[in-house]
Order: sequence, then C-alpha cells, then structure tokens
Amino acid sequence: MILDAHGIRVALPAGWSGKVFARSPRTATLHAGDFQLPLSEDGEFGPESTSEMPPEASFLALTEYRPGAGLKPGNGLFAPRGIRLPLDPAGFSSSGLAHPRPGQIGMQHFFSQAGRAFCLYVVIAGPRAGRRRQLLVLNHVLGSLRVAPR
Amino acid sequence: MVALLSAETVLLVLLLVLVAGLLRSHAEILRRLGPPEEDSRAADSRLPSTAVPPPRNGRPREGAVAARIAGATPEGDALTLDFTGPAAAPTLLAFLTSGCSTCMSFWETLAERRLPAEVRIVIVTHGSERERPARLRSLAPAGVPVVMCSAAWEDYHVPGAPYFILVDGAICGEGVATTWQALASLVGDALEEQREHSPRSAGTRRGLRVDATLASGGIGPGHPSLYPGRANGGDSD
Repeated sequence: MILDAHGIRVALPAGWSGKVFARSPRTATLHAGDFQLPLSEDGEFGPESTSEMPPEASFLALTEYRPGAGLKPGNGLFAPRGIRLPLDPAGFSSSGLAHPRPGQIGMQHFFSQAGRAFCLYVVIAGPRAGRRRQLLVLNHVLGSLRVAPR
Repeated sequence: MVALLSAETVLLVLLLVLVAGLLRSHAEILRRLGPPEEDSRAADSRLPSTAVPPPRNGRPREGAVAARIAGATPEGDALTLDFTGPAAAPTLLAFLTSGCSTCMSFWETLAERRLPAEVRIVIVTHGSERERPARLRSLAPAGVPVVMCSAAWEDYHVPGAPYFILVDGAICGEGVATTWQALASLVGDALEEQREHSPRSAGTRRGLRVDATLASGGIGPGHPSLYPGRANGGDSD
C-alpha cells in the first residue's frame, strides 16, 4: 500500500499502518509501524506511537527540519546524503531512544535528500532473536522511500 | 585420511543445513513482505472490492477480516490503516458524507466521545472525486481523523451514509444508525458479544501486553517493585 503526501512516498507491507502529515507548510513527517498507530495527534518522534508499541514491533519516523537559522540541507548535522541501507544493527541502543522505554532500542540518523533535511528515527521493540527479521522488513520499507524536492 | 574425509563430510552437511535454514528464513520474510511495490499496486487495482465479503440478507459480517483503508485526509496528509496488526483498542469506522442531513449530527458531535473510551473513531468519506476537501475540513470534528477513501466504501460494501462498522482485527459489528442512541447500542452490543466470544478481549490483550512489557524489563510475578508497601520484610509476622 502506497503512502504519498507532502513529497514523501513509501510502500508499506501488509500489517503496517502509517501516516504522512505536515504541521507547518514546509515540514513533513512520516510515521509507520507494523502495529495499529494511535489515531490521536502524535509528536514528530512518535511518543504516543512508541508508548503503544506491542512487545515485538517496529516503528519509524521520518521528520523534516525547516531550513533557516543556520540549518542548511547537506551541511553540518545534515551533511549525509540519504539513508544508508541496510540499517546497521549495531547502531541501535537504548540511548538512541528519544523516549526511553524498557524493551525498546532505537537509532537516529540525520541526513539530507532532494534538498530537504531529515531525521530518521527507528524504534524496535522485542527480544534480540527477532531483530534480524524486523530489520529486514524495516530495510524493505525504507528501500521504497522516495523524497521529492520542495 | 578417513578422519579428514569424515570431518569434511560433517562440515558439508552442517553447511547445507545452514544454507537451507537461511533460504527458508529468507523465503518466509519475502512471503510476509508481500509482492513488490509495482505488483502490489497492480493487485490493489485489480481487487478493490473483494477484501470484505458483502453482507448476506442485510446481516452483519461479524468475523470477516477488516480491509485496509488508505487515503488522503482533507488537510492533504496521507493515512493508511491496517487493522490486522496488534491494537490496543477496537476502531469504529464512521462512513459519512458531507451532503446527507442525517450525517450532520454525527459530524457535529463525534468529538464528544459518547462511546466507550476504548473505542477509537475514524470518519471515512468518499474521495475527492465526490467530496470537497475544504467542505470536509469545515465539518471535521476536532481530534477525530477523517480519511477520504472511496475504495473503502466499496471494500466494505457500505450501502449508504451514515453507516458504522466496528473493527478489531475483524469486523465485530456494523449497521445503520441515525441517532447516538442507536449508535451506542450498536457499539455496545458488538463489544459485549466480542467479550463473550473472545477470551482475548481488548482488556485482556492490554493486560497481556502490560505483562509482556514488564517482563521485558525483568519484572515478573512477585517482583518487589510491584509491592512497594512491603519494605525489607516489613510484611513478616
């Protein structure tokens, strides 16, 4: 199923829910997970969504940063171009979580694509044994991600 | 020499088992992921109305797997809802239009949360070919998501508006309701029936999820942190 809005396009496999929303005209956010995301308004890094994650689940947020005030896509923190796939399993840890919760690990990656500045935030919940499978699915979802210039 | 050959044979067998295991695991992952994007889109366009069987003789289709809903919101965002994944609560799909007079009272009051707190509500309208986003924006109740998806009306064989379907993985209740009293009754009956027939009601599932979350943090039955009153053997006789 294709999710497409505000210049962000991604294909979600069966069992995944997602949304692309924009709180301001020049920033967009993608939330996706292999569980039913909360319908209430959520923060950019999905505090509501990650608080409702089942014991074994995956969640990703892609949030855009508005250029200006020193922030320039392709520079500084946002110098990396795109998302390097597959995701590095060693890059996940509890310290990578924006909202630390038991049983969850996360990673954050700041980058630029199509002249837009983003942070990719991925959270995995569940035992270590299931992470390889979860990462394969996450890589598949992120591999379908397309970003159009503004 | 024989020992070397035996060792090589054992290693070869182990390698074959490992490769077979990896291939099997990979095939399982590919199966779960579904067809590639292009195939998926083609399949979506081929099968728009077969996701949920139509009602028989006007009777609800309890137990039928709930179809996915995907569309734009009146604000121009995109939303995809899949009801097969784990969820904390059942979802009420309110099929409304901007033109029907009976729908108007629901547009005006759906934000008032007159249903059980555990029920999530989503308003499903037709797509932009039949509805004007600006009009829907003016009608949309605060805090209740609206998704414009004509395919959902076809997938669920919605006979007209207003129509309500309660889903919790599968359809657990549906029908026409023109008043809040009728809607509350429809939802209440469906939830009650679900509790009677499903040992894993939403409450039970929430409980299991809390248990699992605690367990993942190393907290199990009898863990001292669950009994803050029992400090250092204070409960001993």
